[in-house]
Amino acid sequence: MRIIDARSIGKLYDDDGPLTIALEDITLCINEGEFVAIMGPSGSGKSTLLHILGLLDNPTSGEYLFDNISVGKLTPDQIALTRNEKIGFVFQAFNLLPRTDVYHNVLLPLMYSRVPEAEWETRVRTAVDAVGLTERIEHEPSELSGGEKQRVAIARAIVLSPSIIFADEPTGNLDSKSGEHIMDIFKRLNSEGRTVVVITHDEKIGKQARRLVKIKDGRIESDTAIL
Amino acid sequence: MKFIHIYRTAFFTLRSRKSRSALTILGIVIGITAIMMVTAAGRGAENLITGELGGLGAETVVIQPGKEPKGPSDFAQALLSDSIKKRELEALSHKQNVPDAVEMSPEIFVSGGVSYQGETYRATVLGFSPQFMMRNLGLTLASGLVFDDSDVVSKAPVAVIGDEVRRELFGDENSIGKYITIKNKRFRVVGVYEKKGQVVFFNVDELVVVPYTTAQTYLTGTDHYSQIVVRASSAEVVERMAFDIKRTLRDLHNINNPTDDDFHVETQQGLVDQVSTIIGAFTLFLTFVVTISLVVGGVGVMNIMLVSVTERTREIGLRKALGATNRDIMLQFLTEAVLLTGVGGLIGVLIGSVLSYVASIAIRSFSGLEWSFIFPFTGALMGIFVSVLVGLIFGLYPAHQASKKSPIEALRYE
Repeated sequence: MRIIDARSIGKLYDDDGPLTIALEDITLCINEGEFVAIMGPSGSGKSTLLHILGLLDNPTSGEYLFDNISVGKLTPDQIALTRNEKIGFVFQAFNLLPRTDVYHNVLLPLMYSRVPEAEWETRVRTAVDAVGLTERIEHEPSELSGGEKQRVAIARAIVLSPSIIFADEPTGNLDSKSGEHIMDIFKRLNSEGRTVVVITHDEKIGKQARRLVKIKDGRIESDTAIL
Repeated sequence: MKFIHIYRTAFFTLRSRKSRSALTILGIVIGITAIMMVTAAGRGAENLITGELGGLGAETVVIQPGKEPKGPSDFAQALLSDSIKKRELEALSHKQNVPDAVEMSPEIFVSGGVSYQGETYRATVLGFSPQFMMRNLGLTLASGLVFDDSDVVSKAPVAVIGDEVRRELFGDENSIGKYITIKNKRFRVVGVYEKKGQVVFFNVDELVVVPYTTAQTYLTGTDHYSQIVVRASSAEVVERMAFDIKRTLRDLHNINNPTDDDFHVETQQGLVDQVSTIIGAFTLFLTFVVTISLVVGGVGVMNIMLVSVTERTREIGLRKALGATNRDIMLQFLTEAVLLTGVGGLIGVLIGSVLSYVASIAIRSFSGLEWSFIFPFTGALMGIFVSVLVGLIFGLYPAHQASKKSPIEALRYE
């Protein structure tokens, strides 16, 4: 089953100053259950690509089908619902709500979802358990280490059992040991059948995926399977 | 997102920033407090004055020279007018002209001090019937007696004085039978009123009442009256009596058109209505002025909300990435604004009520006025309604700004 089907998509910026080509002629298919690393140096357009693939941004050319539906034909509310139900995000800077405990941070996507309120608590506890933070569930982000914060963010990303998880430099702000731990969690999630797309500039991280897509100057440079 | 969760999110956000939230709503709190106090003061004043006027006997009417004052120049004209004299009094005294009148007396206002053995006191000197005054104001005599009609006819130099006048001029000395001087004319004190205090517009204790004929002859040197006070047999016939009085005087003065009247008749009810209208207008004006402070408070709320939207750009981006629609974000910030101002309004209503209540106690104990605290129910409802409205209006723009943020811009924001 194809979940991502990008057909020759491009992205131009012309808001301020000269016209910039961020992405050009990107064609990329990702099937369910894959573990893909998108790698490239900073400024290569990999973040822009992730934003488009994650329905946070629109391409200026080409066609993008997410879960076999053309994104260009969706209304803003349908896009919001798709992000909510089918996509999980993990960011480099964690992006947890401050002064809000782990439980309520993980609860956040549920509040925007169609899941009945009666199921919320079970779902949050299951997700928090999956990243091994059950004892920390009442702690606020300021009381957690960087690795723990990122695990909260992963719990939040998986609480609605999305089809795909996008992680943007998930280990960028972590020491190598915590980073490995985070990558182990992604590998486990993938082995349980979830599609994972990780963006990184770090060769070591990229090699842990099963498919490596290299981007340079807004174009796909190589797309190889890792054995 | 269900509204209850939007509400909880807003409540939680505001609670986690207590001091900022408190400072944000300060303007609203002060504005609503002021509205509450103004409306409570208006209700209190209205209640006090109408209550006391009502207590003065709804069965009396007052006839004053000059046409009914509609502006400052009319007042001046009324003061200078001399259209009410002995002839008018006699016409009104005829039973067939004004059958409902049971008692009437002219009244002369005299300015000037009263002195006794070199001691001078600025009293309110009235040429009037002392019995009528006693019945009208519910007064009693502390000592002596009142002069009667024969003293009026003979223009006797006699006076009934108030308690404060007695105390200032005579101290512990007996005042009955002593002579006081008003404008170089000696008056014998025949009676002293019981201590009564303030009654609406004047203080009974500062009164000196002399026969109106004596006042005209020796004090003012004029032949017209300041006004004539007439008492009807009952409050029910007052309007009919006022009509009879007007008809009698128009006949006497050959007036065909009521707009040419050179006199006017004031009923107590008319006075009560007038005072209520004036206080109502004044309260409305003050409320309007105070409402401006609410607008200022609203701008303050908008300011802080805009800062908050900028500060929480990442949060907005995150919420959108997690599935929040524009409407969800808009409602969240709008709810925060309305919650802030609504709570501000409630606090204002509470503080305003307490302050008004304390003020009413202070007024009672310091001025001796029968000032009562009436909870301004409409003021409270209006206050809360207006503060919620202010939140809606001034929260709309920041909320719209928040909802417009693109998720990637918001997530990128450091």
